[in-house]
Parts: sequence; C-alpha cells; structure tokens
Amino acid sequence: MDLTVFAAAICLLSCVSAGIGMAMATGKAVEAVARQPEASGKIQAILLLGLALTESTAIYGLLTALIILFVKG
Amino acid sequence: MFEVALFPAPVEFTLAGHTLRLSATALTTWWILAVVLALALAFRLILVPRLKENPKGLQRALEAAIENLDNYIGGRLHGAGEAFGAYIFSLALMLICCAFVELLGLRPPTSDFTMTLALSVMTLVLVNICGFKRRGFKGRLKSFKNPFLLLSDIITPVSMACRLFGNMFAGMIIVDLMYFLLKNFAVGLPGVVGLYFNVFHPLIQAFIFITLTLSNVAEASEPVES
Repeated sequence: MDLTVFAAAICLLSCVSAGIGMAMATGKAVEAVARQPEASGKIQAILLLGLALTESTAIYGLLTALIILFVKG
Repeated sequence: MFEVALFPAPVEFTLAGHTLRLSATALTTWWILAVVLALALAFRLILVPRLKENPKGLQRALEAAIENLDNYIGGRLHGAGEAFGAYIFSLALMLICCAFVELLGLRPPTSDFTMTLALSVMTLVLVNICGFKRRGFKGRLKSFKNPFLLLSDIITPVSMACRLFGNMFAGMIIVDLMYFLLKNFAVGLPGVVGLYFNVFHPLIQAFIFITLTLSNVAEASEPVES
C-alpha cells in the first residue's frame, strides 16, 4: 500500500485529540455555568475563543492530510 | 485521481499592450469588491436621502441594528471608537461574500493563503494602532516587558490566517471531492452537504475571525491598571 495514505491517517490523529480537548473544555464550561449562572455570558465568550483555538489544531491536521492526499506536487 | 492546486492557477490577460498575470482568486475578489461597492453606493445615493427624521418601519429596524452593533463592539473594546463598527461589518461582509462565491462555482478567495494572510495582517496593524493610541507609546512598550507577549503578538496573525485558510480550503476540498466521487449522480446530496460546508461553516468561521480580531484589539487597548 502507498505510504502517503498512512501518513494522512497519522495526521488525522490530531482530530482525535482536538475532540477530546473540546469535550473537556465544554464539560468544564457546563460545570462553571451550573455553579455560577450569572457569569454565563463571560464563560460563553471564553469558551468560544478556547474552542476556536482548539479546533484549529484539528484543522491543521485535516489540512495537512488533505494536502498530502490531493495537492499536486 | 482527484487533485487540487494549493495556489490557484494564474489568469493571463492583456491590458493596453501589457500582459498581466493575476491569480483567479484575486480576480474574484475584485469582482466581489466591485459588486459590494456598487451596492453600497446605490444604498448611499438612493436610500439614505430618503431617510426621515422620525424613523418608522424598516428605517427603525435598520437604526436599531446599527445601534446594537455599535453597542456590542463598544462594550467589547472598552468604548474604543465608532469606526470599529464599520470596519467589523465590512470585514464580515467581505468574508461572507468571499465564501458564498463558491455557490456560483468559483474558487472562494479565502481559500487562498495570501488573502487570509492579508486580512490577518490588517488585524495586526489595527491591534498596534489601538495599542499605541490607547496606552501611549510608553504604555504599549511596557506591555512587552514579558518577551513571550511579543512572540504571541507576532504569532497571532499567522495562526488566524492559517485557521481561516485551513477551514475554507478543507471545506472546498470536501465539496469538490463529493462532486468528483458522485460524478453524474450529483443530484440532491450536494445541496444538503453544500448547505453545511458552503453556507453554515463559512458563517461560523467569519464569526470566529471577527471574535478573534475583537478580542485581540480589546486586549491591546485595555486601559493600563495603575
């Protein structure tokens, strides 16, 4: 089998870690809102920023995989 | 085999005897700019003179929307000027128009790294202008006492550009891949998948880009605590 497919699969491991990270952040945010409902606006803003930063790792992995697979040399 | 060019192929055309080479996405951007400018000009020349002193109906809704936008941005930026509302709105309009061009079958300009880098360098310039203006020359330099903060200031535009480019490029490749795999049976399914990857996803990315711009500017223009 071509090794490039294997390389793309390794790149996509970043999506797994990003998923775990986003789940942890969201869980903590739910806990924080349950404890202090009056701070929900601030928590939401911070959560959104954090999710955007976390998501970018997944996007970098996906981008690298797509470039390995489809971009012509 | 399905293949995509990382940078779009240049378009050549002759203008007054000179041969110009432009990337296809730059040409698309100019088209978008022309259309948006024409719409804005029409709005200014036709609608604005007809606005009345006592707002009613549509005008009231428009004024409320603009006021809400200004309030939201002013609240985020500790009251740093009204011009920001216009800048943020035009940034959002540009990002959304650039993404929706894909619905017409063109390559979206935001899937070109140069475009996203230009947008995020604009954010960097804005951050520095606001920082120097609000905190003063010394105050701004004092905020770089920790060298890591200087590093994060340099990294921010690169990471913003990579994020926007990665999202748009990945969305474009996924939709193209679907058309490639379905071949002549591309009926119905592209409408559903495209609704997510061409409409919903770019809107989220535009929102994230704007939120990041606002929070970076807010961080730089925060009044110095004494």
